[in-house]
Amino acid sequence: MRLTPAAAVAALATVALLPAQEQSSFRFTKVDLKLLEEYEALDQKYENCALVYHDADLEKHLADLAAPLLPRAPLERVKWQFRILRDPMVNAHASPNGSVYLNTGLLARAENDDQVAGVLAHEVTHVVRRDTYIFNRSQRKKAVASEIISVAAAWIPAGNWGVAVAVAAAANVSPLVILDLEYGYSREIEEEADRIGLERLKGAGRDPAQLVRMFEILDDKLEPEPVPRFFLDHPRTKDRIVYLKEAIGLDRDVPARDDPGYADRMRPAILQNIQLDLDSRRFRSAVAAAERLAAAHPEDPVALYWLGESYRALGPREPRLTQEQASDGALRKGYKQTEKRTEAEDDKALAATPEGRKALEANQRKAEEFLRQAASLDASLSGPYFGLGALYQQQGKKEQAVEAYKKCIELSKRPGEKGLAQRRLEGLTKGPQGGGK
Amino acid sequence: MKSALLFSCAAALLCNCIAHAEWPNVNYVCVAKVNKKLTAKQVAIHKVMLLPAGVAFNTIGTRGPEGETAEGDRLASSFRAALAKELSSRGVEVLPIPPVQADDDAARYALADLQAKYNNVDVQLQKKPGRVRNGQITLGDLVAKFEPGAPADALVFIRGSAQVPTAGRKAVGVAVGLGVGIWSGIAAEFSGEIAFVDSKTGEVLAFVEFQREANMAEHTDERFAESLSEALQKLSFLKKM
Repeated sequence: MRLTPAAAVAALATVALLPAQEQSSFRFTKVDLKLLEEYEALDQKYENCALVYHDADLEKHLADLAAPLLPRAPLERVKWQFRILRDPMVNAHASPNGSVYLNTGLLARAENDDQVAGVLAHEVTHVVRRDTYIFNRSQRKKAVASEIISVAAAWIPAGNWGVAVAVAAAANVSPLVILDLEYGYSREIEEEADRIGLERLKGAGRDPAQLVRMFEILDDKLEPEPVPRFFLDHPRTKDRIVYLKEAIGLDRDVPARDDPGYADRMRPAILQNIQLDLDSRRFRSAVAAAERLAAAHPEDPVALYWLGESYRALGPREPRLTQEQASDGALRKGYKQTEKRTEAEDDKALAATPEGRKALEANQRKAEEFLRQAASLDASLSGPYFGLGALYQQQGKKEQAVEAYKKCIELSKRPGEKGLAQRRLEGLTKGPQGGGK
Repeated sequence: MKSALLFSCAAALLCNCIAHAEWPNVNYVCVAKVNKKLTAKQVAIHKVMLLPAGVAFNTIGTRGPEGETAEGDRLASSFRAALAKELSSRGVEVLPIPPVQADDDAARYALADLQAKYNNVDVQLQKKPGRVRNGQITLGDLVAKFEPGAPADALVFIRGSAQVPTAGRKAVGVAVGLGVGIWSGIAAEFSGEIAFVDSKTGEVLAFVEFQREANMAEHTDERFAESLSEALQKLSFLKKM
C-alpha cells in the first residue's frame, strides 16, 4: 500500500505539528522529574547488567529507520537513542528520556524493516506525547493504583520465569515503570500512539499495513506466556489489529512479507536471541528463528547448528502451539505449569504421553540431521559434536555419544565446553551419568 | 464534641508515635535446603565465587512504592561483602570474579546470561525448595561453560528485596489497622536468598532464604552480619570454625 504524495505531505505536516503543540503544553513537575531520574537509572542498569546488545551496524540501522519518524524540533529532556535489549520476549519500550529499546525477541520475529519502523513509530509517539509522565500522574491519583502496584510488586523479587529480562533488571525501579515495561499504558494512550504512529509511518514513506502485520505476528503466540488479568484497560492485540485495519482501509489480513535482506542484517541479533530463547525455555521460538536463518541460507553451518540444538532442546514438545493451546486460558495455564515444573520435570511429564514420545522422536531425528549437516559443512565447529554427544547420551547410544564427545574435545577451543565434554566422557566411560541437556 | 476532639487528637498522636517507632528487629530463616550430594560428602564446597548481588529496594509511600536504584545497589554490595566475610569465617575461600574488559561483550553477556538463568530457575526454587535435596534444581550446562567460574567449587547467587514504608505510609497503616484490625505495611522488611550452585554441573547444592523485619538501609553491615550468621548456621556444611 503506497501513499499519494499529497497525502504523504499532509500526514507529515500533521505529525510535525502535533509534538510542537504537546511540547508547549507540558510542564515538568517534581513527580515527573523523579520518574525521569528512575528511567535514567534504568538505562544505566541495562548497560551495567550487559543487557544492551552492542552492534554498531545494527544500532546505526535502527537510528536510520527512526530518523524520518522523529519530530523536527528537539524535545525538552529527550535524547533519542535506539538500542537493542538482550531479551527474548517479543516486546519494545520507550523511556520518557528518549531511549527506545527493541528486544532481540522482537527483532527475531519481525519480517522486514517496515514492521520495525512501525514499532519505532509507536514508541516515538509515546515519548513525544509524554505518555509515561501522564500515565504516571494518573495512576498516582487513582485509588486502584495501589492494588495494581501491589500486583506488579509481586513480579519484582527475582524476575519470574518468562518475564522479560527488562522487568527483572527494573527491580530497583518503581513498580509503575514495570507496569509500563510489561503491559504498556491504558487503552486510550495505546490507541492514540497506534494511530499517530501509523501517521508517522505513512509520513516516512513506509508501508502502514506492515504495522498491522506486526500486531498479527505479536498475536501469534509461540510460547505459553503470562496473560494479564488485572490490567484490563490495556487494549488487546486483536482490537488493535481491527482499528488499525480500519484506519488504513484494509479488509483482509496482511500477508507475510519476509525480506531475506532483513534476516541477513539482523542475523547477529537473531543468533543472540536463539541462545536467550533456549536459556529461558522458549524452545519453539528458538526453532522458528533458526529455521528462518537456515531457510535464508541452507548451507550456513552456524544456522544449522542452532537449528539442531533448538530441536534437541524442544524435546517432547510440538514445534507450534495448537489453536487450543494458544487461547488466553491455555497460555495462562501452560505458563503456570512451566513455572511450577523444572525443565527436566516438564520433559519427563510430556515424554510420558504418546504425543510427547512421538514429538520427541521426530525432534531428535531432526536435531541429529541438522547437527550432522552443520558438522559436515564446517569441520572446525565443535558445537555440533557437543550437541550430538548430548543427544546420543539422552537416547542411551553410549558408543556414539563417546565418539561425538571425543571429537568435540579435539576441536573445541573453549575451555568451558571442552571441560564439560571431558566430564561427560568420563562419566560415560566410567559409569552411568545423568544429564545431557 | 470535646471528647470526640480529644479522641481524634489522641488517635493521631498514637498513629504518629507508632509510625515513627523502631519496629522489632526479627530475623527468620524461612528455608534452608542442602543437596544430598553435599550431606553425603560426594561433593564439597571449599572455594566459591560470589556473583554480583541483586537487591530491589522500594520505599512504600501512601501513593505506592518508589524505586531507589542507588540504595538498592548499595545494599546489594553490602549484602555480598557481608556474605563473603561470613563465608570466610566458616573456612570457605571466596575467589574474586576475574575482571572483564568493558569492550569484551561476550564475557559480559556470559555473566548476564547466567544471572538471567538463575532468575528463571529461582521461580521453581521458590515454589518447591525441597527439590534441592535430590538435585532436581539445575541451571544446566550454562554454568559449566562459564569459564571464569571454573576454579570455584560453587557459584553463589545472591538476591534480596527491601521495602521501607515512609512515616506517612506507616501512619495510614496504623489508622487502617486500628479501624479494621488488619495491620500491614507498617514495618520495614528485607528478604534475602543465597544459592550455592555446583560450578561443574549447574546443580543447586544449597539454598537458604531469610527474612528480617528491619530497615537494612540503617546499620546495614551490622544487620547483614547478624542475619547471615543465623541463616548460614542452618546449612550443615557451613559450620562456624
